[in-house]
Order: sequence, then structure tokens, then C-alpha cells
Amino acid sequence: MRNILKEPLVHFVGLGLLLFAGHALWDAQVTRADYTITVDPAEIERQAAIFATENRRAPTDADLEGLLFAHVEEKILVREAQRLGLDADDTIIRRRLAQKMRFMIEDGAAPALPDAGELENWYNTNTALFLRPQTRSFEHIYLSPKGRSDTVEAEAKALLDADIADWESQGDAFMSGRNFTAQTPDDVRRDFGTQFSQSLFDQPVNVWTGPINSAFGVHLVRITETADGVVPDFADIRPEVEAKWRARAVEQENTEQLRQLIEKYKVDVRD
Amino acid sequence: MARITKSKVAYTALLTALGGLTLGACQAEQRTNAPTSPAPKAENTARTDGYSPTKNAYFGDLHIHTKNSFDAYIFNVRTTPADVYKFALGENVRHPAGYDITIAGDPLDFVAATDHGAYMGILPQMDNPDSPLSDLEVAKNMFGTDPTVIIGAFQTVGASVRSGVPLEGAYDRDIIDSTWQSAVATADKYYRPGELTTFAAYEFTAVTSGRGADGFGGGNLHRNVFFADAAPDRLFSTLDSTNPEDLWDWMDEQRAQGRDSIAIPHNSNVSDGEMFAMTQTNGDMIDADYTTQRLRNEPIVEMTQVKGTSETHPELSPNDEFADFEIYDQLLASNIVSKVDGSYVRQALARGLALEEQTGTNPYAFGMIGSSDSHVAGGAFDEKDYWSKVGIVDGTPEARGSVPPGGAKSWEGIERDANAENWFSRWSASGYAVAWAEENTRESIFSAMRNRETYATSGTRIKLRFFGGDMTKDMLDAPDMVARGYSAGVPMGGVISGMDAPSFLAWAARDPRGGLLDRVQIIKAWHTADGPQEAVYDMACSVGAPDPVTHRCADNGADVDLSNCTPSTGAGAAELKAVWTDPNPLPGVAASYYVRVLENPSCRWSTWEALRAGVERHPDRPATIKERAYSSPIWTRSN
Repeated sequence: MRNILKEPLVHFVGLGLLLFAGHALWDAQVTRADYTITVDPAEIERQAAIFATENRRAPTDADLEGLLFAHVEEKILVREAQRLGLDADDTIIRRRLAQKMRFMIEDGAAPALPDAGELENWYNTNTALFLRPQTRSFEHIYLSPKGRSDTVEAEAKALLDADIADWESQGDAFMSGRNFTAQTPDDVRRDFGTQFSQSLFDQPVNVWTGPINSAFGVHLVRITETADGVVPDFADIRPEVEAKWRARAVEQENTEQLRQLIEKYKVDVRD
Repeated sequence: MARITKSKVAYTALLTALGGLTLGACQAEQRTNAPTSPAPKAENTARTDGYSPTKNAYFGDLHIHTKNSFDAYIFNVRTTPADVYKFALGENVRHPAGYDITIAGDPLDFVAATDHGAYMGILPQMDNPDSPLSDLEVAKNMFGTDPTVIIGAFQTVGASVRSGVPLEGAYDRDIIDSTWQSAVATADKYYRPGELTTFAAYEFTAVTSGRGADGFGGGNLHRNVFFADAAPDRLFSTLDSTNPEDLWDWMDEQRAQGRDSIAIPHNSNVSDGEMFAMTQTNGDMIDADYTTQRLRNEPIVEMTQVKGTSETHPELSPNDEFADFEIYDQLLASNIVSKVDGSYVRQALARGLALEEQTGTNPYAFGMIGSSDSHVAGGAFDEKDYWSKVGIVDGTPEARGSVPPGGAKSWEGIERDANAENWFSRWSASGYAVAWAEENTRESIFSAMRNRETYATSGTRIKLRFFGGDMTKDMLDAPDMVARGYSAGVPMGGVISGMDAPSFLAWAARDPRGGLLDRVQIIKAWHTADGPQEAVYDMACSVGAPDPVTHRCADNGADVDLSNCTPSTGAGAAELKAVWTDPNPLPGVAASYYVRVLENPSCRWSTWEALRAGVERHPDRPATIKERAYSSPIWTRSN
């Protein structure tokens, strides 16, 4: 007998029987519950209250009977639908459940701010988040290629080689103006296009240079002022640091919670 | 498979129910006299960076919905008014279909969240188990599992928005008020003078009652209402009155208390002919009270957006070769074709001049803007990066009909989804509102809207100047052209009086990220005993000059390689400018003139999506479009 009990096959069969018995019990229990619709007094009261709100009067017995019949009917239809597996593969329901779960995760309380020292340390290791981009102030002369696309670049060079006098009357009118102050690379791109923005920031200061091409034509430029990119002091932008820390912490928290959920699962990808 | 089909059908029906509301139209009117604003503002002497006395072009979107709109929440939109401002600043926002959306190119300069005033914020509460609203029958139905019941519940809300009869219980005024007050506070919070201008705003969602489906299907009489700065604690929705004239009364009252606002009609194209009617809302003759009140409250219209172009219709403009552009004509939440007469801006410009003769004021002297009408907190302006507008139902190329359903590679023998076919695939990656303003502040941008110094684009960032008066050719090359334009006449939105032969100057510059320009046109609208009249003249061409007889530019030969959406090189202009005088002047006749700028052709969003998916593009949608900009008109008076 001792030997038999050590046999793996017996273990397997025994375990199977236990499982089977357990499952049968469980199944019977679930099945009974599945075919019972419980309507308690609280539910009746709730239905009556809603009816009263919507209709500005108390429900009659007939109203109540109708309400309860509708309530029971809905519950039964939902049960039957579940039984047929209609909920399992319904895109609307699936998305809705997933979204509800996601909101539950994302609705978690925002993490508390760390103390000033810790926050400043975080700021020091994440200065890229607070970098103010470099800027240029500049003037430019625009030459439109319209009607002279073959010669416009040579004209620009000739103008540059001659001494540029009275620069504000040279060239063509430009839609966004001739003078620009403290422009970031994005600002310049917005008015002139990407190519011009990239070239501009490499130009020397206080001399006319070019020609530089833009989305509109050819330009001569004179940088009048430059400012390097700068990270403001912690004390000057503390509210911004706090906001960015919080956003980062919430994001990490959400990702972590989702990760923990995912870890509970084995993912089986089949060919 | 059967289940999938079923849920799709259900969503389709739900969409039909909901779609009604998301389609909107409206029209606006501009006043010639400034409204009386009794609360003088403190003199603002501090100027923001970028201030220019000759004004800058600021690009914005004044029509965006969030989860607080009932027809957004039901399509899984969960983004908030704060997300609208974050999106405008260039941050990512989550689309309900699960991907991030980012604005094309540069951040916006100005923006407003415009959730539907009726039932604002109610659906999120119906879906919140902690809220008493979630116990309502309509709430349980709306957020239940039976698609038919969901649709019924949604129809109930939509029908109430349209009829103006509040739903008992669901019409919780405290929640609407607190949602609105929170939206106002959020707009204030994100207002960054010099960087991003925000406005407190909402949508007044009136729908015609004549034709249409059940629920809220019908003609679109929607308006977005914007406050210059201070906003009231309560908004005025269709649950207060469905008559836009009552909205104007309320706006007049608010203005008298120092809270100035304007209303911007949109989607007149699907208003079933009622947005620019020749009668009042109740059918009475239009009188002087109506025209002055409309002009005072509706100085601009949104004439291009995701649900199509409201400029004109090919039936109204048979001689305009470029009129057939992103036309959409289905009444809200229906497959009923909207009446053309009375639904388009160009005809309204002429009608307004007739009404001016009758009443002394032109009620349709409006300026132009575009906007997106996105319901997912951010507009899709770029043909290359499009996400339509509704939410979960049009969030993929297949759902919006740019890619054949079911993984098919071609459309041959494919049964098309009705909503994708009739609605989504006809929608557009449009558009922008542009304001010429001294600086990027509420005061300056609102004043541009009030003065109609605005223009619309189909989603491109073309810059466009337009002046009328005593313009001369030498100005075109003058360094101070713009300053001279202002001193020698009026900018777009202005009125010229007492000149026999005014001249006009237009100057257009391409979007640095977009295509080259094909031509600049000037469009004239006037009125005779025979009815509305119009004429289209090309003003400046990318090749040569307009033909003096046909008034048309030669075809510049620009094309697109449809195998990769690359535009041809060599044709088109980076900028175009011209001075123009009417070759067919009508002495003693009032007229309006506006400018339309056309780009070279480029791939439509549906072509981009089919190309990326490696499938045949939709055979019945245009492969390419000509992006465009429309100026506000300049009016010439007969005396």
C-alpha cells in the first residue's frame, strides 16, 4: 500500500478525482445561482425612487410591476447572453471593460511630492526636460525666385559682395517681416521652413551672410544677437519642476500597475 | 463572425443616432457698428513678445469637443478640455481607438474647447456609479450591454437636444453648470498671453425641425459661442430655447453686463437651406431688428471643417471649376441630402446685400474661419496624418472607408459599409481659423474676429493678406507694403465706401511644410432682381498672367505621383501677389469680394491611407485635392 501511494500514476488519478468532485460541486452551486434572479426590497425601493425622480410621482402597483418585470427581464437576457458567450467576443463590451479597468488604474491617487532636496536632485538629473532652446535675433533680405529662378542666387551673391547699404529697402517684401527677435529653432522653422532654420543657427554674428535657401527663395541674413540654450535655476521654475515630476510619477505608477497585472499572466503566442 | 457583424451593426445604428449631433452648421453675421460694451476695460499697455502694429497671422482651432459632449463620450472619448489645450501646445493626446495623436507641425496660437451646451458633462455622470444620475433608467440603458437599448437611450438624449424639451432627471442643471464653470476655469488656466490664447466657449446645438430622421437628425443650425474674456456662470443651450434668435437675446444681455461674446455658425452646408434663409426662424419676414441683431452677434462663419466645405456648391457655381471641393451634403444623423439653396456662404454674401436693401443692414456680412470640429480633443489637419473626428467608430482607415473592409486589397465586389461610404469617407482633414492680430492675446484675437480680419484654410498654413481701396502696383515691391495697405484702404473684413473703382491687393505665401501655390483668385458676389450673382477672376498665376478674356490662369502642369504621393517639381510658386481692379464694375451696386488661394494638387488623406496599407484607394473619392485658403470679404458700398 505504501508503495502504491508512491506511484505517480495513482497520484495523478487521485488528484483528478478530487478535482472532478470539486468541480461537480462547484458546478452545481454555480448553476443554481445562475438560474436565480434575486430581487430584494432595496432593489424595489431603488426602482421606485428612480421612477419618482423621472416622473415626479410615486409609482402605482402596476408601474412597479412593470418596472420589476423589465428589471428581471433584462437580468435574464444578460444571463442568457452570457451563457451563449455573446459577451465574450463582443468588441463593444470588450473595449468597454478594458477601458473601465484602465481608468480604474489611472484614477489612482497622485503620488505625493518629494521634499525640496529630493525634488532638486531629480531636477538636476533631468535638466534636459527644462532646457530653454537657443535663440537668434536676426535681419534678412529676401529675394523671390518668381520669374528669375535661374539668376536669383547669383543676384544674392552680388548683393552680398557689394556693400549692403540701406538693407531695409533691398530685396522683396517677406510675408513674416524683415526683423526677428529671440527666435527659437521652432520659431524660425515656422516662418521659413526646416532647411533655413538649420542653416541660420550656424551663421556668424553681426555680418551679412548667405545666401541661405528657404521654402520661399533666397535670403541674406545678419544675426544681431545670439543666446545659448539655458536651463533655468531650480528656484525660478519650481512649479514647473513639480508639475513635470508629478506627470512623470503618475505615468510610472500607471505603467507599474499595468506591468504587475500583466505579470500575473502567461502569454501564449502561437504560430 | 456573426457576433462581430452584430456589434458592427449596432455601432452603426448608434452612430446614426449620434451622428446627428456631431454634424453641425451655422452661419454668422458681422455688424458694421461695434456692439456697445458698457464695461470699459483697464488699459492694457503691456505688450507680449511678437507684438506688431501691422499684425501677425495666428493659426487656431475654435471647434473641438471632449468627453463632456454627449456625442463624444458615447464613442469612448475620455479626453478633457485640458487635453484640448495640451494638444494645442503640441503634446500627445490619447485617441479612443488607443493611439496617440499629435498636432501636425507647429502648435496652435489660439484654441477653444466647444462642448455641446445641452447635457454638457451629463454622460460622464450617468456612467459614474457614485453619481445619482447613474441610477436613471436612461443611464442604465445608455451604459448597458444591449446595443439596441443603448441606441434608444442615446436617441432619447439627442431628441431632447433637438426638441429642447428637457429629460426629467437627466437634465441636471447643477452638473451642467459646474461642468461649464470648470471648462471656463480650465480655459483661464491655460491662457498664456503671447503663446496660447484660449477662450471660454461652448456649442449651441440647434437642429431644424422640418425634415430629418428620428432623434436629432435634421438640418444643422449649430453655433459656437465664444466669450471675449469674462464668461457667465450659466450657459444658454437648446434646453433653454432652440431658436438662435433667443440665443442672440441672451448674448445681448450678457454683453450689456460686460461679457462680450460672438456666435459662429458652422456646417451651413448641411443646414437644409435654413442657415442663410431669407426669413426669420419662425418664417416671418426679416426686418431691421433681425438683421442688426444677427450682424452684432454673428460676425464670422466657420466655412470649412471635417464635415465638408460650406463655401459654395457646384449647382450654385456652375462656372467655378474649383467649386466641387470636399462637398458633404448629408443632414445630421441621416442619409437625407441637404437643400443647396440657403446652405452656402457665397450665395449668402449676395443674399445679404439684397436684405441690406430691404432693411438697411446686411445680416450676412460675415468673415470666414475654418476649424476642425474634432470630437477627440484635437483636430486632424494633415492629409498625411488623419484620424477623422468622431472617436471609436471612425478611428481606423477601414472604419472610415479609405481601406476596403475585411482585409481586402481592392474594392472590386466589396460590400461597403454604409456609414463609411455616406459619411466618413467624404469628410476632410480641415481646417484652420486664422486671425490677423497685433499680438496673441484674448483682446487682440477676439477683436480680429469681431472685425472679420480673419480667414479660413482647408488645413494648410498659407498666409494671406488682402486689402481694398486705393492699392497701386508699386506697393507690391515696397518694403512697407503692409503698412501702406492699411493706410490706403481696408484689410479683409472691411468696408469701402464712396469709391467708384476700388483696387484690391492680395498677397499669399505658401505653407513652408505644404505645397506650392497654383493661383490666387478673387470672387465677387452681388445681387440683382434676378437673384444672387457671382463671378470668379484669377488674380495671380504661378505661370504667366490671367487671360484677359477668360480671366483664368493657364494650367501650371503640377501633378502628383500617386504611387508615392510625391508632388511634381518645377511648377508652382512660393508666393503670389497682385493688384487687381474689377474689369466689370457695376456702378452704384454694392458687392462683396473675397480671395481664394489654391495650392498645387496633393494626395487626399484617403489616398495616403490606401497607399500606406498597400490597397486600392477608394474608387469614388478624389485621389488628390487642392488645399486652399479663403479670405473674409471686403464689401464695396454703392454710396
